[in-house]
Amino acid sequence: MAQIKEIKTRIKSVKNIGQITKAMKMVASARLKRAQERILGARPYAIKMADVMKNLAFKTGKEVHPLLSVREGGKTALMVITADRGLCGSFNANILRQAYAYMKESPDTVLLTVGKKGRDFFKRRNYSIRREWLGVFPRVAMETVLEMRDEIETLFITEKFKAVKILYTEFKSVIQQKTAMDTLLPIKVEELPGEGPKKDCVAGDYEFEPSLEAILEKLISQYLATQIHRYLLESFSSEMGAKRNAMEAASKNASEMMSKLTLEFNRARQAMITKEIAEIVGGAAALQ
Amino acid sequence: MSKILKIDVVASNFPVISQEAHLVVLPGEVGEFGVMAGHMSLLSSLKPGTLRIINGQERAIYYLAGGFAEVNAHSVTVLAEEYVKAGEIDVEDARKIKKQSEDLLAKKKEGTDLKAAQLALHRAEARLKVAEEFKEFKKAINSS
Repeated sequence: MAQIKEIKTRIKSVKNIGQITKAMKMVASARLKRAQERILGARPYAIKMADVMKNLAFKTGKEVHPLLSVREGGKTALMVITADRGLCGSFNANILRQAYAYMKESPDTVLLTVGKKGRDFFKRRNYSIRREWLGVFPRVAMETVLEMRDEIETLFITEKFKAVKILYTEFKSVIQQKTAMDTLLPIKVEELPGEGPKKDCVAGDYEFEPSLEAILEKLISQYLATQIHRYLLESFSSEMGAKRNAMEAASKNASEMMSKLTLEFNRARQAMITKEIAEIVGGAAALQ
Repeated sequence: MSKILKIDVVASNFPVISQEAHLVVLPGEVGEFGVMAGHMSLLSSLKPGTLRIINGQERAIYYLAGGFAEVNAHSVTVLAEEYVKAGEIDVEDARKIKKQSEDLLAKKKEGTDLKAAQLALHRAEARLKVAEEFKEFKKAINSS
């Protein structure tokens, strides 16, 4: 009897867990969808922006803006994007493993972290973190993006860093995510996406209003913000994809476990009934 | 040489406007300017203001929150921070923001971002102006 009760409580708790993981999976799916819509919505703008930058570089030549300048020496900064929370499979572990390997190889790299998991990981290992951002997701507000941009611009321009790199998780599909490292600064104009210079865009005579410097500054800042925004959304999509998968697996495990436990429960019940009948039959036989 | 321009307006998370036009009037940083086919190459930053796209008898008016415009001989690309169709401007909202930012600027309290308030004020004023212009434009159409 005691065993039956035990199994019953276990079935109940597994059922509860299954319901929770199922709900979490659904939340992750919805957030993933929204994040993807935002990525897709931002894409035409990003592509046109890259086009304009390319045309501009084509017409003016490079080395016109401090954010484009390639330096020989200097420090490097690494921005690591992780999640704020766990329960998303190996998402955080993957990115942190790569970040850790990178930091071991070049220990003088300055760290910037996005997400609680990344901060905790490096704090535990006594790395100093230059700047941390928590609670960025799921909203990914423009103000936060601008804050990040200003920080890395200062690193690059005022403190003469050699490069600012970003380590994030690229979203390939719901089931496939890949950690990737990109260079945020200096911006390499040749590597921008989008088509080359347009046909009706002729080198040389190009007018700027109010001035080349003013436009470049605004344009490049805007471009950088767009990029950071995209990386954040991409990482968030990956996180939600990983979470969805993890929660799906957990729900599946829960339902498997439940059927196992139910089987066990039925067996125990059957055994008890058989025992009772045997007792009754035995008792009746004894009376005769 | 054709007299038709191709104009694209893109903004992050807004649908792309892509159409043909005879004349495009843009709110440049240093003053409004019009673009027709054959215009010389130009890159201008834009301030909050009115975007007019004129194609024959058709006329579309938008509010732009600033951005950039790249002009080439047969194409104009507007990278907008935000745009709203003139007929869909929320006038109440614009008035409210205008008043709020005016208050902020008048008080000049410690810790307020004056630059942001100034920008918000400019944008609200531009929105109101575009809405006003659209109203008059519609009136003119109805009376003719």
